[in-house]
Amino acid sequence: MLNSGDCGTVLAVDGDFLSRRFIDRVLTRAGYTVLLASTEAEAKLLARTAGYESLSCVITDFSLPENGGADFLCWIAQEHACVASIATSGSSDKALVEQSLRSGACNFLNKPLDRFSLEQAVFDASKHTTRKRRTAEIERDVKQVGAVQRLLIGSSMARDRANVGLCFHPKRDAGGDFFSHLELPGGRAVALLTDVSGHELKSAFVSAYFQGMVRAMLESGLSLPAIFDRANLFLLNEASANEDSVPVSICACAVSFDPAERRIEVFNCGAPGAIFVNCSGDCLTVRNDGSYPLGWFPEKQVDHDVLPPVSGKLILWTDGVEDLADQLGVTSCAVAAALMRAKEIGVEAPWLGKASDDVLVATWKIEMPGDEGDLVWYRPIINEHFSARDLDRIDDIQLLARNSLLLAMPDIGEETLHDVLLCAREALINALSHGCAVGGQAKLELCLAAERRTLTLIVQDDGPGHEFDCDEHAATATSQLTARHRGLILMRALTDRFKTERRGAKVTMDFLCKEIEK
Amino acid sequence: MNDKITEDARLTLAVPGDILSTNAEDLRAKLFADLKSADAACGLVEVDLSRASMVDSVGLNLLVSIIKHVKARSGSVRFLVGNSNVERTFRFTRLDSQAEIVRH
Repeated sequence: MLNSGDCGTVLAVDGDFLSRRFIDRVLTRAGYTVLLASTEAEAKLLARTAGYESLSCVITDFSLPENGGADFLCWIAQEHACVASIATSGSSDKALVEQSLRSGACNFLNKPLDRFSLEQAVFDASKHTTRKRRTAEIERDVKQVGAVQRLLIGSSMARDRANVGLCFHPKRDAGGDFFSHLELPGGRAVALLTDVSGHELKSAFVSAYFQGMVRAMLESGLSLPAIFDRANLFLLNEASANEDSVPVSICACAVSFDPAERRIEVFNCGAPGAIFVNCSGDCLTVRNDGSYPLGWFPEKQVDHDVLPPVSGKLILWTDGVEDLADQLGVTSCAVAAALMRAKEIGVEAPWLGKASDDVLVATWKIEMPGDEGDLVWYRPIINEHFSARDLDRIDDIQLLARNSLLLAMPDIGEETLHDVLLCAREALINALSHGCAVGGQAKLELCLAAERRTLTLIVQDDGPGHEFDCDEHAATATSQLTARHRGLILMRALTDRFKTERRGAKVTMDFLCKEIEK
Repeated sequence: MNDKITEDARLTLAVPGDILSTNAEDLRAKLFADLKSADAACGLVEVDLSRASMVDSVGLNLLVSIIKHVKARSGSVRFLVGNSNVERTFRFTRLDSQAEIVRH
């Protein structure tokens, strides 16, 4: 026979003395410590004294005096959800059974109770309680890890708030997305964005470990390519050594800025490409040209790009942003712009609930030494590439542009929206029809310079352009009703500034947004 | 499309929505079929664009071709416009010097 209490503590509540005595004898003999109560109030007092965390289960008659067993069961389910409960009754009415289960009981026993059913039900309920407590513990741990993660991400911003911005919306309490901005000796700085596979605690641990490892190696003078090499080997040989679990991988994008060398470098292993927008509104997409995440293959491939040595804003994001953009039918830039705007005005974007993954956007304003005067910081909304075969879906592209603009600038005026969309359409049709006639790509960029209340639209293609005198043709087009070049005339008329370069292969148009408050 | 020939020799051509590069060709076929069938009967052609919120350059070229067709037959053209952006487009491209623009 087991020593009393070895199996746990059971709280038995029944208004009938004989039932209480029976339960006490059976369960004590089975090795449980039994607390007996005849009413709900007595039961609560006993449990409070013993401590609810000590209870293995509660067994209660459904027809308690005073309030009834259903209320007591509901109360336990709400206040002490980890403690499993069993309902008993002399009635086997199906409705009663259903009610007791709806009230939170995990089992129902008919009276008169028999020893074997009672022991089995209490044994099962005790196991249920143990499982629920373990799950609750894990959830608390995950929440703690998530809180620490957010703290660490936030603290890395503390030193350089003016130049670095971050929006982080985790889907769960802890995950694999992380961003840090590190200042190094000699004025260098490195931004590191990582996305560890999975959404479990393991991902959060690996993420934090990797960030710490990179920080320590950078401070000891190791180069980013060498660091990525070591990280790749670590993931292959150590973190993923257990063949019974799915290997861990890390998508990482690191940006290094050395002001003394006037050098901005981007190293990418499987992360979404970064965007760099200069102070004229030109966007450069730093593509991920098929590099693998770290931890996939021993033959590591890192995309390495050197950016133009000019001042500009870098925008990085994890793949959760791209997934969300697909869902919303907008560009990834628009999602990033909308998130940064929402953060600035202190609201949460209502469409964030549609995200199926963590969403992280980071921005970094890089000021190149020697750049003087007011630097204009742009926020890209559209930065897309097209080829001649996209001409057939120009209506879809226009819809994408419209949705993206409305997401990033919900207050945009109807007139501005119309003019931007029409000019974008005209310019893109020209670029795709003529500039891409023998191949190549066209690029559509739309950026907002909020301080100047200006939207800048740039459309450029790889073609040779052609000479065109807008003034001369504008007059001819009207007086002689000629059809040619009407698109260019239209663009020039609708914009506040219209500039062509490369014989028209690049067109830059500015729209003053009166609706943006200064 | 609801086309009406009214008693005072005016032809009204109603356009169902935007006139863009992607639908201009189909619209052209229909509008010119109606124009040619009423050629001798009307002096004024009204194009009802009250349901259009955007007209691109290809759409403008279509409207210009209607103006040229009607003027060649000594007629005149009136555009009924329901959207201020479309009206601005016409005025900025100086189409209002070739046809009457009326807010509808």
